[in-house]
Amino acid sequence: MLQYIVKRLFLTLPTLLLVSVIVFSLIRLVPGDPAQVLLGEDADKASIAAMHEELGLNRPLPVQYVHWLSQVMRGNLGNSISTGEEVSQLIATRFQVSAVVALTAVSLATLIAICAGLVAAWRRNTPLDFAVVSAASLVLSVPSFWLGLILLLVFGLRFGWFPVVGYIPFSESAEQWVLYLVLPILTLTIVESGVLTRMMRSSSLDVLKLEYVTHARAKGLSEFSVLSRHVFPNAFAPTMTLVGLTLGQLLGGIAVIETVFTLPGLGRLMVDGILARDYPVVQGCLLFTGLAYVVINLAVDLCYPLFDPRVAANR
Amino acid sequence: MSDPTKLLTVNRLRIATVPQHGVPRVLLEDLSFGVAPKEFLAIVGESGSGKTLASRAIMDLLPPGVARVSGDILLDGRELTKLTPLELRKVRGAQVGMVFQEPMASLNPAMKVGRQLAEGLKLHRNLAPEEIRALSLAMLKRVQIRDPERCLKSYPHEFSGGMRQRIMLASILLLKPKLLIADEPTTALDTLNQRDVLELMVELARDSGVATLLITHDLGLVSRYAERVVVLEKGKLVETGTTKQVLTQPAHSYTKRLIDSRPARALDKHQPAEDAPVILEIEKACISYEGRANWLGKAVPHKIVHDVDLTLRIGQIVALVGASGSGKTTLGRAVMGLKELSSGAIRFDGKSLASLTKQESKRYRAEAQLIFQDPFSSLDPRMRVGDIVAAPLRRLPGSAAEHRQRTSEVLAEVGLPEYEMRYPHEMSGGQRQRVAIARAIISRPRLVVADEPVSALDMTIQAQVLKLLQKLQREYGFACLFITHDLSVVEQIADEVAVMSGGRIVEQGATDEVLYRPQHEYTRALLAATPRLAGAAD
Amino acid sequence: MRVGRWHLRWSALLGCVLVGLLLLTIVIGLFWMPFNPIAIDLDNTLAHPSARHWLGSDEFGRDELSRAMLGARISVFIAAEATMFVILMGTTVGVLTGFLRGWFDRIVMMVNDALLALPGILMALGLIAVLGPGRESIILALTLAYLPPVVRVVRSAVMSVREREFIDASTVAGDGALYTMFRHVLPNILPPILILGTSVFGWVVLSESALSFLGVGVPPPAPSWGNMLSSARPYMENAIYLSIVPGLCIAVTLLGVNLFGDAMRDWFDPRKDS
Repeated sequence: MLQYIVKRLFLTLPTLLLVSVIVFSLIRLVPGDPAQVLLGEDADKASIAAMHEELGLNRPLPVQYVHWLSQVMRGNLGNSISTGEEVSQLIATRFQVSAVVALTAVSLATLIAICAGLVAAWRRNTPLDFAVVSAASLVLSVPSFWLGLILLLVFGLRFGWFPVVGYIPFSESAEQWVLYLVLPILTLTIVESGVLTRMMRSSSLDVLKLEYVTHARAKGLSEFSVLSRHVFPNAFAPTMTLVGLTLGQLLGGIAVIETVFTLPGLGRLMVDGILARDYPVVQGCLLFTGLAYVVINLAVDLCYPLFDPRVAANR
Repeated sequence: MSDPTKLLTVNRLRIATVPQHGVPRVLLEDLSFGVAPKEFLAIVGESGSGKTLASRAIMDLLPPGVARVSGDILLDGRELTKLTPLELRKVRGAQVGMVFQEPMASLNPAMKVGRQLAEGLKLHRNLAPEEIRALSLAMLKRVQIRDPERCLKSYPHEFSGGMRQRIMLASILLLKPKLLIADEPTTALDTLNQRDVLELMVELARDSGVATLLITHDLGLVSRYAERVVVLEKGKLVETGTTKQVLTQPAHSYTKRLIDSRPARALDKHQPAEDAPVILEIEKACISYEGRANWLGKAVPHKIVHDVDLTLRIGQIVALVGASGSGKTTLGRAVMGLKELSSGAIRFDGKSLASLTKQESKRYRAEAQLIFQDPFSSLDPRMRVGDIVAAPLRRLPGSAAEHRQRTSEVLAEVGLPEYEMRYPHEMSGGQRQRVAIARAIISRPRLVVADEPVSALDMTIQAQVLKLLQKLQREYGFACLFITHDLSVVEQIADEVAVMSGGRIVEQGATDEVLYRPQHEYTRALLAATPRLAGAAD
Repeated sequence: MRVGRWHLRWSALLGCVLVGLLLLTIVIGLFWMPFNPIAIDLDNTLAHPSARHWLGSDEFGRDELSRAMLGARISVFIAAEATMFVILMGTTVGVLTGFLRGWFDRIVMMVNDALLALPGILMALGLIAVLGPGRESIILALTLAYLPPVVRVVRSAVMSVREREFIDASTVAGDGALYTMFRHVLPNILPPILILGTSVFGWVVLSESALSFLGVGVPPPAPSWGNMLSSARPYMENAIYLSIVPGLCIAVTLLGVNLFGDAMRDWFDPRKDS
């Protein structure tokens, strides 16, 4: 088992390295003087010259990369062109908002998916299954930003239960904070539960065909025991991988939710950065997202043996 | 109506499919039989006979899409078909236990063995955890698991197929059922394991006074263990009676056919000339596989075949026998150039395979062909039979018309005339294997390697295909390396046999010599484990 | 009560109908639209749906229905191009790596995994940041963004086909690697590729509308359902229909594509649900 953990950790390093290379190249691909690109159009000659020095633009590219990487590893991601704030600081604050919404929504969606998927597979080809599959298909097809808008219209404008614009952080008022987050979390939960339910149902169907399930029934176990103890652990593994991927996708996709509900999150930060040509911010967001994605998938991989012990075996 | 002397009575059981629309298909018709307490009854049939469905119907474990249409099932006088689900659950496990076929899928991979063993006990009996543990350990010892303590804490994937079946047996017999239903419990195991596990099962059943219902296709097992037998063909009962009677004096033609299809010692084997030229020479061949890389990225090579010497002459059939993992398939693949030797040489017609030029390689492909094991995987599902069979001719000289002619010729020879336009999925396993054979002989090869060509087929089909192979070999005169795990097949068709174990050849020689005067202990064990028909020469 | 097959038939039918409707709308839109989609009409701004403007008009008086029709064409064409590129490139790479394995496979997959770490929309956003907005950028960005998952799926399909014995049979018959890949591997991975194609198409439509919604996609005045939705936001209270129409179009399109993909999956592997 230890070998499995260590191996997994080792494997993330080349990925992270490659991600940094990709991000580095991406920023360098922007046409124009890299120093100017990073400082913005209004920068004065002196700052540009200083930046030239700092970036070592007269040095060969690999050297520049190493220098850049060492800065990044120290947490120095530069400063935002628009606001002058430190990029790392910006990311830290914004990420909290996105993380709360994303994690809560995905957790709720997973719970829904497990129950709905298992039951639908168990009662395959019955009206219940039909209802679940149809609901999942419908939900899959609805774009999250549209659903958010509709919910905002109905519950925010028409009924006035929830605020329509803005955000209040937890530190200021816990109650208000919750109110601002209900609709975005609800939107995301609905949207993500579609794909997760389908996955859970599909892998449950596969497991239900396997012999050890019939064996469990042949022992006289109740259907509930069979489903919870024998079907669920084995069927959940692929869904868990999907949950990890979904969380990873949300690191970017949440930008639309944040736009609809005007939340100061990471996704919105990146989009604003692009629109404003704020390259330090864009670079920082990309790097952070890549790191977060790798970490999330690492976590999923480490939890996988809990549900499928076979992967950790040293064969 | 129940026969009071019987433990289990099945009355006119009828099972059919439950389609969404259209007419239901009857899978089992009016099956009636009984099992007395402590009796050993075998239900014999090939695929499609309905034997598995019959066994599943007893405890209402039929797969979705299939249902019991009519008939009663009585256990100890109780009508099982009229029980509520709750009552039926009490019967399952405690009164009737079931062993399944696939050892790899029979245990929940996500749950420790100890827990799985305890599950049934916790459900049906009121025992303290220590008692459960003690009973589990005792039972594991009984099924000859070496380290029962560790076994309880381990996961199923840590055990081999044979051990998993034993654990299954343990898990079921812990509950002390009155009836044990075993559905092809050893089919997926190799010969030696088969014998051990089955013997164990019979012993345990006898000791605990458990009646056994064995579902199988293997008449050898029937003759060895069963007291009475029921023969099913395509969903209908064709014959029943005591084993001795049915097997020595079969009344129904199907039973006769089944018995005849058991490979038997051929008394008129065509003997190839002693001085026929050597066509294939394997000398000190070693093959390794790249082992699994550990976390440093280093892969330790793992030897599969050690120092094998083997010779084949034109017209000879040499059998290569061994259990799975013995290296026989790997060796066969190396002969075909699908796997490289790590040392040693394979020489075809005097020339080493490793040193063939491109031109010579092409010739080799025409001269040496391979018949694969799995008829469902060796034919490209997207190609028509005609194209599949003609594939080896592609690189050979000759016009398209000539190739077409040859293709229909060869299809006629294997008994599939005019089959060129069909697709594999329209054909049965036996037919597909004939296509594979046609493909192998179309280029008139001098060497044919047959890798378990009949293992995946039903008994009666096996017999047909083997006969076909023998006939073709006689006509074409090619040398044949016949890879198999089944000694009775060897007896029927091979001139010489080489026994492999752990990557080495432990014994080789003329078939009669090796089979009747075995020298090596592995050969002896293999022979002892191969069930024969009662009454056949032993 | 068994409704399985009935449900499958109905959903497949619905999928085909919706996809058909979409194509019909686009084809009609090539020849006729009620109004010029970008023609400004300041006398008729924010008109509610009426006999004149069937779906109403936006803040510039532009006819919503015409814009929706043009938007359909724009989004679908972008999606079709991107999907085609992704499938072609992804299949080539996937087949080569999955079949040939070895160091080539390892290097490509390492790069692929690193690219996967930057999820779809983010990659697209990053690429658009570099390339600047515009139709070509969107197509390029989305193609590159969805290439890694496609390579993954194709590669795994190839690897499982490779295990089947008829591939070995092809080698034994004397066929070279290239021939085997073309004649045997490719036809047998066609079903998963087609299904993947419909999935990718759906993802691209969704991503493009999300990007347009965020303001980094199709640049106005060209209508995309995404940017129509975005510009409808300030008028949520008095012109609700502006918020409903574009979103409904996206949802219906995605539903049709998804159901169609499901129908294809069932057609290729009918054993699944029976």
